[in-house]
This record gives sequence, C-alpha cells and structure tokens, in this order.
Amino acid sequence: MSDPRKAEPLIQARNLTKHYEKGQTHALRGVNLAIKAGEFVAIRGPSGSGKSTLLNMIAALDRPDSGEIRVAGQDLTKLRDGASYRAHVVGFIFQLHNLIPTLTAFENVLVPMLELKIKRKASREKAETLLHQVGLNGKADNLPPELSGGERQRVAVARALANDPQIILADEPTGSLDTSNGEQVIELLRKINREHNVTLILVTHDKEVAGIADRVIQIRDGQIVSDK
Amino acid sequence: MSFWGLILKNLWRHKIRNGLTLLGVSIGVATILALGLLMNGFEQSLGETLRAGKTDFSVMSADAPAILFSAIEESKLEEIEHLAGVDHAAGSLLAITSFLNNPYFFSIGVEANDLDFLGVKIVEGRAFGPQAPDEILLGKTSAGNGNVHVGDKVTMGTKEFQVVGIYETGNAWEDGGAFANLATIQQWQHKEGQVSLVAVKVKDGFVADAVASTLKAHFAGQFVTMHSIAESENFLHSVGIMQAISWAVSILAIGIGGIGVMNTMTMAVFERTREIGILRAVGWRRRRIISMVMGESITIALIAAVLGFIVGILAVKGLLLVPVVKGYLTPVYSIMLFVRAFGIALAVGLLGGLYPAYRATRITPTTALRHE
Repeated sequence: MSDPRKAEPLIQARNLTKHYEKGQTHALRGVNLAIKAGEFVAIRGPSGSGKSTLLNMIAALDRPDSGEIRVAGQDLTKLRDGASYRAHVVGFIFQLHNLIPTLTAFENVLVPMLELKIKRKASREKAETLLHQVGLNGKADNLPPELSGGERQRVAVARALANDPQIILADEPTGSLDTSNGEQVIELLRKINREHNVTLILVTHDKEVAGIADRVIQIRDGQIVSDK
Repeated sequence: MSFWGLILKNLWRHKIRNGLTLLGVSIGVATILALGLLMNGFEQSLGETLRAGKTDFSVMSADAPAILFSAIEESKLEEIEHLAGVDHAAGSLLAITSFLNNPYFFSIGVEANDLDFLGVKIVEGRAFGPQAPDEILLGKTSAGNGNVHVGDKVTMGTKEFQVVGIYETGNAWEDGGAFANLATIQQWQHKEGQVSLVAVKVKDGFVADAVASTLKAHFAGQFVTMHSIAESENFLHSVGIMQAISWAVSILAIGIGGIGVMNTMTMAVFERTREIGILRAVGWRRRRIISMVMGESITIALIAAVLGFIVGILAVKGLLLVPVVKGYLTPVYSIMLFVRAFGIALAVGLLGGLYPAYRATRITPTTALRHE
C-alpha cells in the first residue's frame, strides 16, 4: 500500500558541489542530505562554511556545479527559472532589510500572492489572517520603518506563509534581533512548523537558536560534519 | 494593493525625480502637438486661399518660385477670358508690406467689381470705389489687431489710405490683410500692368480641369493652374520642409525623452537591486519584473502625454494672443495628431523602459541579497 513518492524525502540532495571564484573557493564539497516533510532542521556552521549556499540551492536560487537536488518531486537542477517553484513550494525569510520599505506590512504580505492567481478579496483576507497569526493585527498599515526589528521579522514570516509553502527557508532570521525578539520569532516559526506541518529549515550560527530544532546539521568547509 | 498599485507606489517614491522626467517628456509631446496643430492650420488656410469665392482654379506663372513672385502681364487677362469655356478671369496682385506692427502684412490689389467674385464679403462700411486710389478695405483680423475702424486713415509704407470698409473671407491669411484697387497696388509696388494670380471661373457645362488644360496648352507652358495653393509645387515643397522639421522634432523628442526615462528607470532599478532580489526570491518570475519596470516607464510616458496635450493646447492658445500671430495661425485639431503624439509618448516609455527592464532581469537574488 505504500506510495513510493510518500516514502521519498521532501528534500533529497546527492553529492552537491559548488565552487566560487573560478574554482578557488569550495563552497560545497559533496553534500548528501535528506529532509522529510514536517521536519524542523537547523543548519549550523561558521561564516563561509557553505550553509547559505546549501539553503540557496534548496530555494533554487543557486545551482550546484555537480550533484543532484530534488525537492517535492522536482529536479531543481533542471529548472530554467526557479521563480515558479519558489512561488508555489518555498517561503523565504532573510536576515536583514527583508521587506519592501514603501509598502505597508499588509502590502508586503500581499507581494508573493501577486504572482499567484489568487482573487483580490481572497488574498486580502489571507494577508489579514496571517498578520493576525503572527500577532500584528494592529500594525497592518504601518510601513517597515515604523515597526521594530522583531515586528518586521514577523511580517516577513507572514509573507513567507502567504503562498502556503511546503518549506520555509530562513537565513539567519534572528541575526539582527535582540535575544528576546529573536526568541519570539523562533517560537513563532516553531509554532508554524508544528501547526501547519511546514518543513522548516533554518540557517544560523547561533547555538541556542539551533538547539530548538529537531535536527541540527553542522557544516564546515562545505561538508556536513555532524547530523543529529 | 494590485500590481498596478505597486507600480504607482514605486513611482511615487521619487516624486521629484520622476516628476522632472515626466515634465521633460511632456514638453516633447507638447511641442509635437503644438507644431502639428499649427501646421495643420497653415496647410488648411493656404489650401483655402484660392478656393475662396466663385473661383474654379487659379493661374500663376510657371517659372515663379512662389506665388508672391508670380508675374503675369495684365494684358493676358483678356486672352484668358476669350478661351473656350472661361466665364470670367480676375487678376490680383499680392504684396507684402510692414503695416500695423506686422512686418508681413498681405495687401492684395484687385478690381473693385471682382471683390464679390473673389469671395470678399463686406461686413462693415462699403467696398472701395473703382476710381478711388486712396481707399482701402481691411480684413476683420487686421482691423481688430490694429484697432482700426471704418473712416480711419492708415499709412501703409509711405502711402496714406482711408479705411472704407471691413471684410471677411473666412481665410486666416486674407482676413489678416487688406484689399485695395489693383492700379493702386501696382503703382505703389512699381508693378504696373502686372498681376500675381488670375482667378478663373468656368462657364456652366464646362469641366474645370479640361478648361485648365486648354489654358496651359494655349500659353505653351508659360502658366500653371491650381485649384488651391496646396497643389503648387512650391507649397508642397514648403509643406515637405515643415513635415521634415516636425518629424525631426518628434525623433528628437523620442530620443531625449527616451534617454531621460531610461536614465531615471535605470537609476531606480539599481537603487532597488535588493528589493528586486527579494521579489525574485519570493517567487516573482522575470516576466513580472519586466512588467513592473516597463509598467513604471510607460506610466511616466502616458501621464506625460496627457500633461503634454494640455500644455500644447494652452501654448497654442497663448501664442494666438500675440497680435502678429493672431489671425494668421488657426490651429486645426485632428484626432490623428493626438494619436501620433500619444504614440510617440508610448514609444518613449517603451524604449526608455527596455534597458532598465533588461538590467532588472539580470539581477540574481543571491547577489542582490548581499547588496546593502
């Protein structure tokens, strides 16, 4: 009775390599990785270890020089433009200057939905629900500069959820926040991971942040050195 | 917020910069429109000149570079009248003088009994007498411009005239001029026994074109005939020059406007590198990025077109308040002119947006996100 596709991990990377600067820098050297749907994975490592490169490959923002990466049944190395894949499968959260500064919190959440064929009314309702979920009901009409760092990052979380993604990729989401705001954002992500069964992959160099995840993958010099 | 709303918001971010670009494009559109309106008017009023009155066609000398230089011996008038099919032939002598603050004042010498035939309608006073060398008729526009009334004395060159009437022909050039006795103008211009044009009326039952051919054959190529000035080669030549100028201005406007829009939009794309990276990262396809950038540049151009229409029309209206111009230039509005100006603005938006849109698609999210 088992559907082979269900048994397949959501993200499957085989022997990924990536070189930068004409082969001088090895960002990834043969990374093998399998992540199941619904997992909360932290990728840890010092800067320059290749953790962001790996995240970019899962987002189809970057291509490996060799190796294979499949996400949700799609071979990402074969995509001409990863935009459509990102629009449907992935939600992205960055460290800094994440939002369009001239759009309100509400409008920022609407941005990914402009690419999807969602009716105006439905997308507005969705954006409202999402802002409510991240605890920003009263701040919908505020512009990013009027929000605190923690609030801005929560808008980014709401925006990442706007397309009902299977995977949320977060690149140092707490990197520019103080401890208390950082904890709140991680707590929110954790909650979303549990309640929506969204796979959460978080890149961080912070040991404590990584500690909250179910699984921690350590990267050093482009290779996975531990996975538990 | 819709996609269109986002485009407007993006433009509003740099109101002054985009406003100045918009102003530049709108000046281009206004210039094209104003030139076109006046050119249309010029063509139309010249086209009317010889159609006025009961005339079927006009005769001018074949070797004259322009109507003003056409010279026909007055004695030929009788010969023309005796040709088969000719009902009446009226000679007129054109002269340009400085008069009533206008350095290019048109005075036309005709026989008093030909005034009605030539379509000159007296609206005030009376026509000049056949033997009255000092009497003059002023056009409605010239009388208005010079604030001259029936009974006033006016000086033209060194000669003094008595204004006996005000006329109207409906033609801007003629209404901005004056009519006097043919002999008076001949004497004054030292062109005794000469006329510039001969207006011909064809007898009932004859075809104007056939009579014109007979006339040309009779005078063995000495004369050319036209139904309007618009048919003369010189006129076509001048219109050709004007059209070339108008196109040159249009091309300049496209070039300058396009570069202006391109500059503004390229700057906007560079400034928004990180933002464009974010949009790509959240799933926007290249096509949507192109639509956004092109949408912004086309919006600038189209708003500029509307502003340009308003400025262009106001500029022409303003120009018509200048006494020298008033009456000579009548703007003629045509849909085609607006369509053309609008098309040019659209071209400016499209051309100006192409390069920045291309640059925007070259932004890779990974590099953009490292961009502070």
